[in-house]
Amino acid sequence: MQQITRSIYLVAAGEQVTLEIEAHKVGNFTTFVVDGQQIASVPGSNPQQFQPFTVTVGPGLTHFGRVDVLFPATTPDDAHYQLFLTGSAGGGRFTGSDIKKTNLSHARGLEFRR
Amino acid sequence: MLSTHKRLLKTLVGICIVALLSPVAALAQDGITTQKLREQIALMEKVDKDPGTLEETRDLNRNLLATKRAELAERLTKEIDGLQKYSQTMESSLSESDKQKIATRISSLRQEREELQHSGSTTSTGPVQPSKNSNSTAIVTSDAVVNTSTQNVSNHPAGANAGASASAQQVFVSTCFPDAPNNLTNTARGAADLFINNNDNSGSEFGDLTFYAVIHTVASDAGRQDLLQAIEVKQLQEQTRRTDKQIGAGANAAGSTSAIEKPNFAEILGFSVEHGAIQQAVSGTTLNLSTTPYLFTTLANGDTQSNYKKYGYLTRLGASANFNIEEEDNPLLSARRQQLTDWSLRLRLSKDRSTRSDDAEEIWDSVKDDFAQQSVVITTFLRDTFTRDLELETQRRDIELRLRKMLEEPSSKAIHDDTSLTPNQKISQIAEKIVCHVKTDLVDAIRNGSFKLSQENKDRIISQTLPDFAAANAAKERALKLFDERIEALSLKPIFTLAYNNTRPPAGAPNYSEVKVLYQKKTFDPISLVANAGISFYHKENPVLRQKTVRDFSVSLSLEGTAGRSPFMAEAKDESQITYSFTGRYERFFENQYFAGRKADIGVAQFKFEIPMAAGMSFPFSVTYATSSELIKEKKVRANFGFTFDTDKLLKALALSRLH
Repeated sequence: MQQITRSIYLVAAGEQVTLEIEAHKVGNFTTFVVDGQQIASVPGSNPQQFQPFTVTVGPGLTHFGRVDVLFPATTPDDAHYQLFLTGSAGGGRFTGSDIKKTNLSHARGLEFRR
Repeated sequence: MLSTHKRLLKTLVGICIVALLSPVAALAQDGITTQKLREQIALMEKVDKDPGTLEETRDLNRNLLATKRAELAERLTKEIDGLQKYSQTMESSLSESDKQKIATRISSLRQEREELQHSGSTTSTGPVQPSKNSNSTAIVTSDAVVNTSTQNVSNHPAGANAGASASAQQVFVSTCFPDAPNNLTNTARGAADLFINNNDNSGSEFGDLTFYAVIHTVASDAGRQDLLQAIEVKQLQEQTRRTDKQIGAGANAAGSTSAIEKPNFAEILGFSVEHGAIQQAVSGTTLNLSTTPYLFTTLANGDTQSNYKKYGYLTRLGASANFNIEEEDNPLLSARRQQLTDWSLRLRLSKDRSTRSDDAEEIWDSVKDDFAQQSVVITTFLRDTFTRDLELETQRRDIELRLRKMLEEPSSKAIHDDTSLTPNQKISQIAEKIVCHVKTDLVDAIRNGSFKLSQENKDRIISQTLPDFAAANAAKERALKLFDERIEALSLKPIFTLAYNNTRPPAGAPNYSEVKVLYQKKTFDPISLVANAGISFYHKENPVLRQKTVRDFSVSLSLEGTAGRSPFMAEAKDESQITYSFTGRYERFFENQYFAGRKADIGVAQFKFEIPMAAGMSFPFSVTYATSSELIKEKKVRANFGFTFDTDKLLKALALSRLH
């Protein structure tokens, strides 16, 4: 996997992509959806990890992901989530977007391009 | 020779400055000067204000006016950018006087742009229905934000807000796309916020922008505004219904303290306070330091949820100490044994019921499927639209790249770095650029056929995507409501705490310890029931004073609540609450039974309320009735009132007003 931006990644056919979300000063109130399918998190994982999904699209096409998170009202203003992405074909663990409580949007799109 | 060169250079610089500062020199690409454009706008404004203007003419005039203003704003931005660039390039060659001239010109252009934006927003909020096919492609720097619903908005990214949280719920009037849907402008503001506050230009909002632009265009062109309205109306209803917003930093936000140059313990203490491992609070002449062992684990690992899962049990234990302050300028210097008045340890016996607990995550698990429905609909739409059409996907990627490149342009960076703009102004200006870009590259492109959506795609958007999205918004709202209710129910469960207090009275009186069981339960919102029972012991009893090991026994019961927002608060976002309490206390003070003129059984009843009067200032009032004091057998009724100043709140209020 290669990182183009914090939200856009180049992936290979059959590659397995894993998202991890590290929550700071807030619980794991996160959801991850790829191409209309909600991805389950791995029970007991710390930091929270989602089940890997497999790249199936053809060349020039994209898997569309979206992370949506919640900050309960009592969490401090400096609470935030940090996204990390890893591909099974190598490239390392990439630091993705962060989502701060003070941000106007608490959702982030992710693109996995072939 | 050298002096001739200098003279030539000076002359050249002078000519350039005159050329750059000349208001009529900036010729537009279409040949109209900026000055001419100003005159046209002035004329159109006159027509707009004329009561004799026919309604239809006014509507048409306003649309043209918006386009002209957009054009002028773009020119002003370009001129500002040009002057800034020039100033940076020629800095070493410019005299102080030249620099001053340029600075004055930039300031004047900015002011003009501000005024233009202001007048743009006031005109745009009128009853005008702008053209649906406006071809304005101007990149406009606008701060036209009309806040219509910030009084009662959700703290959550609720409903159809596309993930935009409460502070984004403003009606943002785009000059180049005045009829842009709120979802689109809110998402643009979200993307602008990331660019300004997270230094993030990764394209993470592009999927949502595409979604909103496409569904809006397709539904509008198919005459199905009813589907869009259903979504927008629902969104506005939810915004006005929710009242649980939280503004400002949390009560435990780690504050920064000045560097403390002290040896040994004080140095460690200073470091711990600075890094949030010890909480510091100053009340009057007392310094309170409190901590929990958990906070020390965060020094190495950060306060992540992973760390909380490992060491969260340490939050059961808390410790605090009070010191008399000697040096007001640096209260931490008073954290010495001689200044210590009391210290305490607390052990929470009941389960963790915070929003970071396992119970809270279980609640989340029960609602997250509904919460995720918006993401399901948006990513399904993106998959169905772009993974079946390679050409369209290639075009989509090109548009995304152009948007990112637009935010890398000097004019965008200038807004990002402009210290004269507030964060909100920066966000509005960048959001306007994004909306204009989306208008040109997606909305207009769909309409002129250069971004070719198949009829199958259009039909699916009408028959499936829009109804699904309306249902997803309702599902998310349901999830948030349920989550809030269950978290509230969790907080209503009783909390038991075992407390040990060590009190060190002023010289002469012996030290004593107190062991208490505390019980706290929120009965029904907004009232809490607090009960405690305790027994205290002397460390070293004085037989002359007939003291025994057990000093006293006490029980107390208190009802504490809030009575809504103070009516005296001028700042709309300041949510300071009126608080009140009824407290009853019984104490058996054993040694008093041996002395005439003293009473062993003491009862106290108190009513207290506190009304915030202004930012950081409140008016507390209490009436206390006591059957006796510890030293004199005498019934007492006492009333206390005054004003208290909370500097912490005052600073937060000031910060809030600056953000506003």
